[in-house]
Amino acid sequence: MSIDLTQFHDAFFDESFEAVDSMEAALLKLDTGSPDPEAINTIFRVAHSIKGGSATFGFGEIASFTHSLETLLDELRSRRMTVTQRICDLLLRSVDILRAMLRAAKAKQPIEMQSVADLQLDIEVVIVQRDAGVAASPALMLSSGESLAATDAQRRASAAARTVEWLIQLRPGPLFFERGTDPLRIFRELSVLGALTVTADLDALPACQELDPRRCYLSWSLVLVSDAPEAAIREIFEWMNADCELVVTCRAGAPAPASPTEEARGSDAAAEDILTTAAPAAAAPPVAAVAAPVIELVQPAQMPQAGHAAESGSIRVGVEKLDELINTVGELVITHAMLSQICHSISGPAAEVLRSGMQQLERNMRQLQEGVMRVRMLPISVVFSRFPRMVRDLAQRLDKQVELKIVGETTELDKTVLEKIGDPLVHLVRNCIDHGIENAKARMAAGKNPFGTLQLNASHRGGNIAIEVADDGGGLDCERIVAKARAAGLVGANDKLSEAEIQQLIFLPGFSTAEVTTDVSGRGVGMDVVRRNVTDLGGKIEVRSERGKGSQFLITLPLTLAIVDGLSVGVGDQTYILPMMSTIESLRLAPSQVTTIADGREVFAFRDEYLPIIRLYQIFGLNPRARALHDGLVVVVEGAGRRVGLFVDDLLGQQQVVIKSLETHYGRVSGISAATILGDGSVALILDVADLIRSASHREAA
Amino acid sequence: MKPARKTVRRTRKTPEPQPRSEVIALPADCTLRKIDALRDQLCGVHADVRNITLDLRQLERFDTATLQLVAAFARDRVAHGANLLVCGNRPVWDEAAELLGLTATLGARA
Amino acid sequence: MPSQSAHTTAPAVINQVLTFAIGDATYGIDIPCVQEIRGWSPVTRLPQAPADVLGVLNLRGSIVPVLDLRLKFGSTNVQYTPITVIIVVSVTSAKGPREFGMVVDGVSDVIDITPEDVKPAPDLGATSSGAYIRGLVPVTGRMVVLLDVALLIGKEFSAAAAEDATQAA
Repeated sequence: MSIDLTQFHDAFFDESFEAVDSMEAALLKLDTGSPDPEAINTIFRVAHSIKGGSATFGFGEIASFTHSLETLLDELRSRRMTVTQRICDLLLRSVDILRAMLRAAKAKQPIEMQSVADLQLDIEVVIVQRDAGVAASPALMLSSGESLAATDAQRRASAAARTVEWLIQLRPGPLFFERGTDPLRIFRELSVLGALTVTADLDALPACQELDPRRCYLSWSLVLVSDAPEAAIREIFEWMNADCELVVTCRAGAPAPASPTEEARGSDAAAEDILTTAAPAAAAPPVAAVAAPVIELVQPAQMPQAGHAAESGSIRVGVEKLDELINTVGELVITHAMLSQICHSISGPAAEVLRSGMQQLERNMRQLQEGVMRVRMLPISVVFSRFPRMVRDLAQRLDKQVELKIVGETTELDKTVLEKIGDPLVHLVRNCIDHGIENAKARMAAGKNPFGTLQLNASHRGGNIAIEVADDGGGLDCERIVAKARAAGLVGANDKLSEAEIQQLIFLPGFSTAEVTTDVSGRGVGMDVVRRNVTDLGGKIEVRSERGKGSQFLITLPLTLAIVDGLSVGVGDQTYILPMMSTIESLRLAPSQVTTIADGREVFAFRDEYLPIIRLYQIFGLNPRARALHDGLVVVVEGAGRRVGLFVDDLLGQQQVVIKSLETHYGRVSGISAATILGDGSVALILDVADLIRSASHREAA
Repeated sequence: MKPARKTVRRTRKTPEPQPRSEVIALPADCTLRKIDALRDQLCGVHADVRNITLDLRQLERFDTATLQLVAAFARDRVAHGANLLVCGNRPVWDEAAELLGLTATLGARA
Repeated sequence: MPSQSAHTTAPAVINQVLTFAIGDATYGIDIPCVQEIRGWSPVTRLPQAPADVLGVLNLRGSIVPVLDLRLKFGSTNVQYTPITVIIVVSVTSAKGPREFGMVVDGVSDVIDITPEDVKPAPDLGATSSGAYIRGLVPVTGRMVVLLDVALLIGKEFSAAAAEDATQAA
C-alpha cells in the first residue's frame, strides 16, 4: 500500500513559503557588525526544515539547494565564518531563489536551474575562500554534487587529520522508500567521505512472489573509514526520513556523533538500540525540524489540516469553507431582519415575548457575525512584511537613505481586503521613496536627518481600518502639481484651487509630476489606480501634505467586504442604501441656504465650503415625494476626494446590510455598487458614492 | 452400487514446451513509481526457466527498491537452481549494487 | 403533436419546449434552461436600464434582473395581473451561469419536438422579436415561435452582459 504524498504538498508549500518569509525577516534584521546569534540560528533552522520537507516530498532540486545554503549557515552559526555584507546579500538572493523554486514546484513547472546553479556556486566559493591559504578553484566545485562535502573534508585535512572508523547500522522501517529517501543516495554520499564497506541483511526479504515491492525489507551495516569530522557524517543523515533505526558508533575513541533518530510512531522498532549522546544544543533543533514533517505524515488523519497543532494551537482552513460560513451568516442577517419586521407588526401578549426573544436573537447573531468575520481576519503584518525588503532594495536602487517604521502590524483585517490592499500600499510606498523622500545630500542641505523616515501605521478607528503611509520628505509641491495639471488640460488656466483641491489632483488619471519617470513609479498611472483600488474595497483615501515637511496618505477601509453599515434613504417609491463610511451628516436645508449659480447648479454652504446638490430622483428617473429642497433631506457624502449633498425624500433608518452582487446576473450600473435584500425580501440598491460624484462632475463639465 | 462414472472428454491444447532460457529486459524506468510493473514482469517468469538473463541496456532510472526487488528475484531463482546472468554492461548498476552490499546476490556479469 | 421522422432508425432527439403566450402569439423556449416559474411580484427598479428591463428581483438570495418580454416584443399596453407570470431562465455565459426573469402573459404546456420539426423563420423584417427567433414549429392549431434565450440576455442587458454572452456563444 502506498501513500500518495501529493495530498500533503499544499501544507508543505504553505509552510515553506512562511518559512522563507521568516528567514527573510530575520536576515533583514541582521546587523552585520554584531549579528544576533539567535537570528542566525533561526535562519539555519528554517533552511534546515525546508530541506527536510523538500527531500521528504521529492523536491530534489530544492533540497539540494537548501543543503548548500545550510552549509553556509552552519559555518556562520558556528562562527567559523563571519557575517559580512556580501554574505548577507548572498543569503537574500537565496531567499529569492527559494521562493522562485517553491513557486515553480507548486505550479508543477520546471525550475529554472541556471540561476540556482550560479548562486550555489557563489555560495560555495564564499565558503571556500574564507579559509586563508586554501585556494580551491571554482572548477573543482562544479565537478560533482558532493564536492562540497569533499572539499570540506579536504579543508580539514590540514586542520585535524585523524582517521576514524565509523560503524553505521541502518534498519529502515517498511515505509522508508515511500517517505522519499533512497538509501543509495545516502550511501553514495558516505562513500565520498572515505572508504565504505557495506553489508546488506536480506533475512527479512520475502520471496519475490510475496513481497510488496514498495516496502523496504533490507537493513545494512556499514563501515566508513574517514577523516571527515563528525559534522559531515551527521549531516548526511539529517535529511533522511525518520522511519528507521539508525545507530552510529565511532570506533576510534572520539565521542559518537548525536544520532538524529526518532521513531516513527507507526513502526514497532524497539527504542533501546538508539544511541544519543550529550549532543550540543544546536543538534536538537535540527532533529525537531526534520521530524516535524514526517510525524505529520504518520498520522494522515490529522494532517495537514491539523497543521502545527502542537506549536501554535492554530489550524488551516480552506477559504471556501469560510466563504460559505460568511454567506450563511449573511442569510441569517436577512432572515432576522425579515422576522423582525413581522414581529413589529403583530400585537398581543405573545408579541412581547416574541419581541424580547428577537432581541436576544439579534444579540446572538451579532456575536456570531463578529466571530465569523474575525475568523477571516488576518494581521496586516501579512502585507507589511514584504516592505522591509522592498524598502531596502528600493532605497539602494534610488540611492536614498530610508528608515522604515511599522506600527500596528497586529491590526487585523478581512482576508479579502488584505489581499487587495497590498498593491495600492506598494505603490504608495514606492511613491514616497521615489518622489517624497529626498536623497541624503538634499536632506542635509535642508537641515534634515540624511536618513528619511517612512512610516506605515495600521489601526482600528471607529469600526474601520485606518492605514497610513507617511514620509518626512519634501511634501507635495503644489505649484508643480498645478502647472502639470494645467499643461495636461485637467485644470483651467485661470482656475483658483485651494491647497486641498490641488492635492487631490494627483489622483487624476494620467497625472505624474516626475520629471524623469523611473521604472519604479511615475508613469502616471499610479495614484488614480490606488484610489480606484481603495474605493473598490469600499474604502477611501485622503492625503495631507506640508511642503518641505512630508506627506501622509490615509486609507480607511471597512472591516469586511461582505457586510456594510448602511443608511437607508427613500427616493420616490424606492429605497436605497448609503454606506455609512461615505456619509458625513444629514440636514434639512432652508430655502435661504441654497444658492443657484449660473448654469442651474445648486450649491449650499457646509462647514467652510460650498457643496453641490445632487437630486437623486433626477439621476434615477424617479417620481419623488419631495421636489422642493426644504421638503426633503440633504445627506452630505464624500467620495472621489470631494463632498456633495444628496437630496432624498426621507431617511428610513440605519442597519447592517449584506452585500449582494448585481454583476453576477446583470452587470454594472452607474452610481450603484451592489444590492442587498431587505427584511421584507425586496431588493434595495446600494449607492456608489464616488461613482455618483464622478458622473455628476462629468455632467457639469459637459 | 458404484455410481456410473462419466468421463467428459475435453479437447486439450497441446501444451507448449516451457522455455528453458529467458531474457528479461528491464524497462527504462524501474524506480519506486513503476516498481509494480517490474514485479509483475519478474514474477511472470516461469518457475522452470533454467537460464535467466537480465538485460539492462534499456534501463535508465532505478533506485534501492529496484535492487531490492531484483535481489529477491535473483535469490529465489538461484536457490531454485536457475542461473542468473546480467548483461548490458551498466557500471552504474554495478556501483549501486556494491553500495547496497548486493553484489553477491545480484549475479555474475555476462 | 409533431410527427417523428420515420426514416431514421436511431431514436430521434427529442427536445422539450415550454410554450407561453405573449398577447395572441405563442412562443417556446428549451426546458433545460428554465429554472422556475413564478407569479408576478414587484421588482426594484434599475437606474438607466432600457425600458423593457423592469428591475431586479430577489431569487432565493440572488439578485436577478427581470425583463418584460411583452414590452420587448413591442406590446404597448401591458398589465400586471395575478396571472402574469415570470419565467426564470438560466443561460451560460463566459462568467458562468446567469439567471434572469422574463415576464409573459401566461405559460401553456410543454411540448416535445425534434430538430426536424423546426422550420426556419422567414425574414420577418424589422419586427422586434425577429432577432431572437431560432425557428418555427407548427403544432396543431398554432405556430410556436422558438426563441433563443441566450440572445435575449445578450442584446438588451448592460454592455458587460452582452460581451459575456457573445463570448460564451
